[in-house]
Amino acid sequence: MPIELTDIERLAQILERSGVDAIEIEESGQSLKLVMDTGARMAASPMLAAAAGPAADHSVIAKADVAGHFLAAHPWRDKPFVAPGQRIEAGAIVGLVKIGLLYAPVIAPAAGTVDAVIAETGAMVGYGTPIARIRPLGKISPIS
Amino acid sequence: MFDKVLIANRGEIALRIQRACRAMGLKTVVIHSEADNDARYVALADQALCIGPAPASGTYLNAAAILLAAEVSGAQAIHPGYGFLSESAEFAERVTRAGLTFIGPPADCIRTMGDKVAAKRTMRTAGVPCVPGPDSALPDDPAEVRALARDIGYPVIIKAAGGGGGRGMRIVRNEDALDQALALTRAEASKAFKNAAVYIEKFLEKPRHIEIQVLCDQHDNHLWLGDRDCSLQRRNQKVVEEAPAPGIDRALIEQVGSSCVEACRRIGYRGAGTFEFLYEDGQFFFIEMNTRVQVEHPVTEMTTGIDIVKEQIRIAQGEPLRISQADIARVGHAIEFRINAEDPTTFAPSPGTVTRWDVPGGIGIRVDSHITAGATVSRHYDSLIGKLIAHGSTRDEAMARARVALSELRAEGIRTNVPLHQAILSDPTFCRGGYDIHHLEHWMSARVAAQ
Repeated sequence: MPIELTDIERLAQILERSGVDAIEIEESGQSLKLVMDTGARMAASPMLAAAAGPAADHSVIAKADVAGHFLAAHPWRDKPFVAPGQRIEAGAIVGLVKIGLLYAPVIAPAAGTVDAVIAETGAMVGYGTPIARIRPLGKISPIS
Repeated sequence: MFDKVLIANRGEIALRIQRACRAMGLKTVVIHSEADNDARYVALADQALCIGPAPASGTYLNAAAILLAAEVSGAQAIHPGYGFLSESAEFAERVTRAGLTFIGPPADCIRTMGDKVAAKRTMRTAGVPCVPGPDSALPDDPAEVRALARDIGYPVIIKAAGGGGGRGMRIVRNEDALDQALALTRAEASKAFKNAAVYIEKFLEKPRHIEIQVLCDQHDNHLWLGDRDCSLQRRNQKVVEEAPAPGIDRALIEQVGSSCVEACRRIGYRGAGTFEFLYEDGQFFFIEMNTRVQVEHPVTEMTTGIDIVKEQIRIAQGEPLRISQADIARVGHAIEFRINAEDPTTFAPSPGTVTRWDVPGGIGIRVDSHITAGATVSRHYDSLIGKLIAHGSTRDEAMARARVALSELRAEGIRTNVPLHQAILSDPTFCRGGYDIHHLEHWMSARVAAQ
């Protein structure tokens, strides 16, 4: 019996509710491995950065690199990937761009503190559309 | 039946297609690169999607990104314009496989015409006059090729089957030079077109470039809309085009036009297309077919009153052509001047910000351009920034109107070839009409020598 997209969605919800990190299913001719991104969940608990200084001049922008509809949260979750004040690493997912059945991640170009998520969920974005403003960490000078 | 069209192109043709769509009540989706963010047609689109940075390889030539943009926007049809992906059979196929309408001919027609040997064979079968030479690729044995060349008579020209538009060809004036030319063209062809097949033809010394515009629907209606003379060229790039071609026997053109229509019927052609011919000593010789709308389509629109881009879209919607061959008018004469952002003497591209853009007007004047004051001409793309088309009841009247219009056109911030066009309009040979494809280059060399 082929694994349907809806099965995967249901499985993922069960895993998340029960706190299981991963599951692997193997059947003849197909295999499915689901790994829950628990790290992201932990990071999603807002840790407000102390002494937020003036941001505008030094902030870096996470931009979309494909055209589609922006999603601040994973479609199976309510909680957005990032929230203002949150500390994130370079390469962290700050949102998704939905293109039909595909989801492309929007990546933080540098580590830092999230200043704001600029794009609105559901909005049409394109290559280069600003998604999130990030205040980089300490001495690291961002490439403007 | 679609009501939302994605325009997979840029510049003046993107605006031209958008105008046709809007006049038909169709919604437009524009895909563009970052370099074109501020373009006029981007602002006028119902939806605009930036799909990548400036280089065309990631945007206007990126089939996957364009198809994803169609999915996101809900566009049901794609107009490829000219250049970029317009003559890619693979792109046409992918659009169709995605369940969308490709506004152009069927993929197999594009493929056949893209292979110049297959195209020639098809045309010869349909009775279209072709350049003397076999309609098959050359054999490997140089001795056989020498025999073929001797039959045709020198000079001959060796051309890449995958080439076209003046690329991948070499003239051979005597037998001593044949072997080397053959090897070089083969090597270039496999590198540039990934198709090492080459063919041989009689080389015409002083031809004119004459072409026939066709329009075919999905209901077995095939029309030809008249001829254009595009002989004013520099390095195989057209500079000025006009309709009709001056000084050619109309009965002969009627015959050639009918043979083009017959060829379209045989190959199941659909949409707009152009048959390109060389014309020398009262004879026409087919060289290639362009399976798309062309830069110079407005001169035919001006003389026939037919909106070619609108008809392309109607045909793609499955609508029948509402005109018959006998109804096609030929009114007056039209001349198109390609306005390029380039130095008028060195032809070096001149990108930059257009600080002033005064567009001419008046009776018989049409300007197709995406430029506005403040617009940027990117160094990443072709230097064509607009087209000035002058129509008059006679060729002389069209030229007179063009002179006034060119004197009114003001472009600042970038250099343009307007001074070259003004000089061309004072050249007695141009004014007489009927010059060959080498005239412009000879005339320019003579001017330089005289200075």
